[in-house]
Amino acid sequence: MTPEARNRLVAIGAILVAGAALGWIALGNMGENLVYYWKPSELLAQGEKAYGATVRLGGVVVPGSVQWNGDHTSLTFQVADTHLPTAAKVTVSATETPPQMFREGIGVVVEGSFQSNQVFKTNRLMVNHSNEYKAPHDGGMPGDWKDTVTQAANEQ
Amino acid sequence: MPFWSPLALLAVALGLVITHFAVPTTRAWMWKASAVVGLGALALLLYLGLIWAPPEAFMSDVGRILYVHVPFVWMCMIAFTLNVGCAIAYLMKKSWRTDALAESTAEIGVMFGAGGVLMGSIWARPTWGVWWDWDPRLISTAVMLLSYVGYLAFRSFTEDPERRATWSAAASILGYVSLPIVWFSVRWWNSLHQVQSTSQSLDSQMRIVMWWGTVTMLFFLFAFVVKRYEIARSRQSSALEAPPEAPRQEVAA
Amino acid sequence: MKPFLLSRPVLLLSLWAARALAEEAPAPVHPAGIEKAVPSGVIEGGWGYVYAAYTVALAGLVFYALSLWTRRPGAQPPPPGDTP
Repeated sequence: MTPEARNRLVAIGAILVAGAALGWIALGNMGENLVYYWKPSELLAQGEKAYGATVRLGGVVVPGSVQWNGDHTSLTFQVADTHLPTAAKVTVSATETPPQMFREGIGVVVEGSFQSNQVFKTNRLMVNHSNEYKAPHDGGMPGDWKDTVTQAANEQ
Repeated sequence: MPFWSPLALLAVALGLVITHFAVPTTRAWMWKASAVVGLGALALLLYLGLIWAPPEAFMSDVGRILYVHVPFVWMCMIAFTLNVGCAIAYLMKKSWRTDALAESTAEIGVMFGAGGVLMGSIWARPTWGVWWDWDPRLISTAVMLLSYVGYLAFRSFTEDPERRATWSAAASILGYVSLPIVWFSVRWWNSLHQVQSTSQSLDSQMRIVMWWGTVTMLFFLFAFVVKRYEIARSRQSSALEAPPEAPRQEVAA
Repeated sequence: MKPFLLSRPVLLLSLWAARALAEEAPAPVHPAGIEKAVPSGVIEGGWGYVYAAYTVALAGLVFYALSLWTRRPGAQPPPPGDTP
């Protein structure tokens, strides 16, 4: 075999292996094995199996559900699958000061564990924002952010 | 962004590189022009990004990181795509030129990629609340960059130019699998990183600055590729006793 | 050759950027005003992060260009004993 033929064989082999690997990841069921976070409905569907394990829960902060304790050192809120009122919800109790972008209706990912009292305890609260970048209207505080996040949640 | 915009960028980058090699008269001046125009564009980018563009509704001024983070990561992906093109070209038809160009684009891709990840991390702290989290986009990007660091390490540790060229080309093709995974990771799996912005999800002023940043970095990418290529070529000629224009013809193995 | 990432300008610059970031990072637990702990949903300030990111971008371009210059074909390698 000439070096040229060997090189071409290497190329074909590498392309085949690369294509197979990509196809396996893209079309296989990797989505079920590689889970970054669970949505509330998925967590609740696990039933008692979900208790205690350290997992990530992701969803939308339910408007009107954010409650701080007296000295603002911890808060509870509900996380829902989507913005729809009927979406599955899980109550989250967080001891960490949330990022500044935390607000009602925004996406969050919390890391912690689901307790048997149906509360998800977390000390790592992350804001999961959408791909929207808009200038604030009138240069002031945005007044219509609820529309923006609703739109973002519906896109998911 | 329209889905074809990264492909259009790639076409421009490819056009510049091909022109540089196909038209000898452009070799002396085109990279210089690119660097000079890039410097001017960079100065304007600082003005556009830091002053002219409006703050973001929720991120305020922190949203300005968009204009450097996205262009850097895009240049990384363009460089790696040029790299895999050179790798396939080398294996199909041996040439020290495509081998040198592959080395050049891989190193530049790692530089842009590392910068982009660093800026992303700085951006993540005030917005997500963490410097880093192991979400699919961040994991796949880390794997991609590490695989190209490994590629460069393999190249620098392998003495025999023939072996280096052949096996690094194979590694390049295998490593390139990571790139579509990075691109689609935010769609295939749920992640902390948001999906790619679209024309609708980005205010027009912000879109202009992001594109300005991208074009700016494209000028630098081209100038860097040319200069790094020359370094790779001169190292080849000192490594090979024979004039490096054609690979040495081995007896059939 | 000494790794480029360990060169003195790179180290100094990263130190500076790290300090800018440290000044910007929020205090661990709400210090004086307790209301500060309740986020408004909109980031206040944060220019330190912006400057740090743009510094990374500029530093990447400048130092990569410098590294290309020092490695240029025909550049004389530094005489032995020149580097500490």
